[in-house]
Amino acid sequence: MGAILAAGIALAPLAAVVIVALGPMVDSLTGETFRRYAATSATLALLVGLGSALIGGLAAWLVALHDFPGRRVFAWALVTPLAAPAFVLAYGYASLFDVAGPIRTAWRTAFGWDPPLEMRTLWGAAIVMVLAFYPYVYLTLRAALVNTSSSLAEAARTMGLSRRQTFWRVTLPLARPALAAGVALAVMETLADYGATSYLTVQTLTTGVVRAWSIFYSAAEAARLALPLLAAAAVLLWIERASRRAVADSGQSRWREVERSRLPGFSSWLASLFCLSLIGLGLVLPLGWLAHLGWASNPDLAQLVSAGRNALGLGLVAALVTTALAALVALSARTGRFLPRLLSLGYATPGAVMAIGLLAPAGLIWRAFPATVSSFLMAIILLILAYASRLMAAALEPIDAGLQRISRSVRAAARSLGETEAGVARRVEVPLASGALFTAAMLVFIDVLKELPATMILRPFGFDTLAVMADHYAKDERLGEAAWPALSIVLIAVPAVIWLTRRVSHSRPGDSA
Amino acid sequence: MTDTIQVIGAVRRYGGKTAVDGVDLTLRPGRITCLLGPSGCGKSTLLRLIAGLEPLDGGRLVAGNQDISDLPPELRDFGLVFQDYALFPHLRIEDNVAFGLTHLPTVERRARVADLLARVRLADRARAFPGELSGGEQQRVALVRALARSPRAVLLDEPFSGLDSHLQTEVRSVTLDLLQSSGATVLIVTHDAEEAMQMADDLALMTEGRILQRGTPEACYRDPVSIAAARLLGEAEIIPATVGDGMAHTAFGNVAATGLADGPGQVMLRPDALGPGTTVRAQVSKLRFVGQGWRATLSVDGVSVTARLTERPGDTLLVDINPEAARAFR
Repeated sequence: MGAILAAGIALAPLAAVVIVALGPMVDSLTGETFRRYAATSATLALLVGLGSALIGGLAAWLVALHDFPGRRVFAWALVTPLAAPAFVLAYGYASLFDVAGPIRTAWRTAFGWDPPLEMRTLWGAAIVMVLAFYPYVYLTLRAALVNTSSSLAEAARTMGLSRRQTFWRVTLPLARPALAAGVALAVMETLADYGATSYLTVQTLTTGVVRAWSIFYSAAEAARLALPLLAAAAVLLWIERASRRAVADSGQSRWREVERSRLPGFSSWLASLFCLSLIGLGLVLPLGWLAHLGWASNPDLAQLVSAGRNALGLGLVAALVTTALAALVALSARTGRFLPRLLSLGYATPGAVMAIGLLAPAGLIWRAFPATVSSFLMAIILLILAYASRLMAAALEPIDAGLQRISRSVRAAARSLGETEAGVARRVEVPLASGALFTAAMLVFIDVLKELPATMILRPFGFDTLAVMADHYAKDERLGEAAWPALSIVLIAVPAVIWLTRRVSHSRPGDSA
Repeated sequence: MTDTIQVIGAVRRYGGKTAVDGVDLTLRPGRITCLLGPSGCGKSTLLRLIAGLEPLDGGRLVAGNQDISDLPPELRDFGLVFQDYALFPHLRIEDNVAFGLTHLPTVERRARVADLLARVRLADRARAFPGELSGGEQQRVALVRALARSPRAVLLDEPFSGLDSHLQTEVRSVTLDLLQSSGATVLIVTHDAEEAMQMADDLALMTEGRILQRGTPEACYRDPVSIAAARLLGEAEIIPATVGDGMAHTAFGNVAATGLADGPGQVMLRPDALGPGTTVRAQVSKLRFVGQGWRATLSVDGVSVTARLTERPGDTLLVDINPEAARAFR
C-alpha cells in the first residue's frame, strides 16, 4: 500500500511529461532550435563522459592499486568536489578566465597573447563538469578495483602473466562494468545540469526546459524538450544497472585485499601531483577565487540567513519525507525488483523535467480544489514531491543494502515469535537499518541543498534557497554576492560528503582507506 | 501446549520444480522427530511450510483439531531455531529471549527469561549482545528463545551444522536434555545421519521432495525400504545378486530375500556386513588402519566391497555375511 503510494509519487510526473509532450502543438518551438539544443546536450554528454572516464578512471587506478605519498588522504579527498554544485565551479572559472580575470591578465602579461581557453563555450562547460562529476567515476571504479579479490590477480600471475598483462587482461575487464556505471552517472548529472550550463550560456535541452517554463510559461514546449532527456535517462539507467549486475556477478568466493604496488620515486610524486591538482582544480581554485570575491563584496546577510534557513528546512523535510517513502518501498518490495527499477528512472530524470511533470497534475488538482490550500503551501508540497520522486531511488539504495544485510531467518524468527509483518519492520528491520536510513537521509539532504532547476520552477514566489540566491546574483554578474550563498552550500555539504564517503567505504570489505 | 501436528499431502513448487511433493508427516506430542535428507531434498522447505514462512501449494496442516494451513506465521505458535540462529543483533540476550513475550507483564517476563537462561547456564550473559557470544552459546540462546513462549511445537533447522565438530556432541546433549524436559513436540531437520539417530524418537527419511520411510532410528537403519533409504542412514555398498527361492545369491554369500520375486536383484551391505567366517574366500586389498579397526577392499569374482574389520586380515580372508547388516532389494 505504502509502496504503491510511493511509486505513484515517483512516476506520476514522468507520465505527465509524456502526456503533455504528446499533446497539441501550441508553442513556438521550431525543429531547428530543438535539434540545436539536442546536439549541444549530446556533445556535452559525450565530452564529459570521456573526460570523467579518463580523469576519474586514472585517479581510481592510482589510489586503488598503487602506493604514493598522500594516498590515504587522497582516497577520500578526491570525492570532495561532489560537495560543490557544478554551478559554483562555473562561477569561479568563468570569473577566473574573464577578460579582466586574473588568469587571462597574468597570461597576457607573461606571453603577450590571450590564453586559448574561453569558459563561456561548450568546451568550457565540459571542463567545469568533468571537474565536478569525475568523482562518480572515481568512486565506482575504485570500489570495483579494491573489491576485486587479489586471488584472481594472483591466479593470473601464476599462469605466467606479468603485472601489466594482468591489469589489461584481468583487473580492467573485471572493473569495466564499474567504469561504465560511473560514466553513466556522470552523464546523467551532465544532462540534468541547469545552473552551470545556463551561467556559461550553453543552450542545452535542460536549460531549454527551464527557459520554456520560466520565460514563456509553456508547459507543452518544456515537456517536448524534456522528452529526449527522459529517453536518455532511461538508456543511461539501463547501462548503469546492467553494469552493476555484471559487477555483482563477478563471483568472488574468498575476499583478500588487493596488493598495492609502490610507485618508484618520480612517478609517485607525479601521482600525488595529479591527485592534488584534481582537488585543486575541482575545489580549491574556483572556491578560493569565489571566497576572494566574496570577501571584497558587501553581502546582504539578512537575505543570506533567510535563504539558508529555507534551504536547510527544505532539505530536512525532503530528507525525512523521501527517506520514509523509500523505506516503505524497501520494506514492502523486497521480494520484487520491478518497483525499485521504476523509481530509479526518477533519479535519472533531470530535476527540471521532474518539475514540469509535476506542474501538469498539480494544475488539475488546483483547478478541482482551488481554495483548499494556500498557494505557498501547495508550491512547497510540490517541491518536496519533486525532490522525493527524483531522489527516492538514491535513498532506496542504502536502505535496501542495509535491509539485505539482515538475514532472512532473522525476520522469520521474529514472525515465529508472534510478530506481524509491521511489527517485524518496527522492532527488527528499522532498528537494524537505522544507520542506512540516516545515510539515505543525508544523501537526499545534500542533493536538495545543491538542487537548482526544480527549485527555480516550483518554489513559491519570493522563496529563495541558497542555490536560487546564488543563481540570481550570478546572473546579475554580482559574483561577490553570489559567492556567499554558493560557499555556504559547499561548507555545509563538504563534511557530509566526507562522512558519507568514509561510511560507504568502511562498509565494504577491506577498503581501509 | 503440545498438539499432534499433521502434515497432509503438502506440496510446494518453485517454477517448474517441485520442492515438496505430497508429503505426509505426523509430529507426536513429547516426541522428537528427525527429518533426514541430503541437501536440496526439500526438508528445509518442508520446515518452512510448517512454520508458515512459505505458502502451501497443496495439502493441509493440522494442529490438534485446528486447520492451520492459512494462518500467518505469527499465529501458528511454533518455536523456530535457525541454522544461523537468527538472533537479533541489536538486542541483548535477555531481550532476544523476551522478544516473543510481549503479552506477559514485565515482572513475569523477566522471571521467565532469567529462568530460561539459567537452564542453559547463560544467566551471566543476559546483558551481552549476540555478537559477544560463542557459537555454542548463541545456539543455546536461540533454543530457549524458541521455547520461551511454550509453543505447541519446536522446529529446528540444521541446528548444529554451524558448530565446530568438537562442540557438536556436547551441544547436542544439552539440547536433547532441554527439549525432552520441556515435553515439547519437536521436529529437527538435518542432513547428518549420526545426529538424526542420536536425537530422534521418530525418524523420517526424505529425498527429492518425498518421504521415503518413517519409523524409529533402529527400524529405519535395520530395515531400509530402499537402497536410497539405506544410503541416507550411513555407508552402504551395493552388489549385484540373483534372487531365487527366497534368497538373494551374491559373490559373498546368500541373504534372505523374503517376498522378492525371482530374477536379478541387489544386496545392500553395511560396512560391518562382512566378517571373518567360513563361506567365501575373498582377496584383500587397499588395507588401511582407521583407529577402531581396519578398512579393506574385499574382492570375490570381480565384485569388490569396502569392509570394516576388527582384526588385521592377511592377503586373503574367509568371510560370511552378517544378516543383520545386509538387505536384499529388487
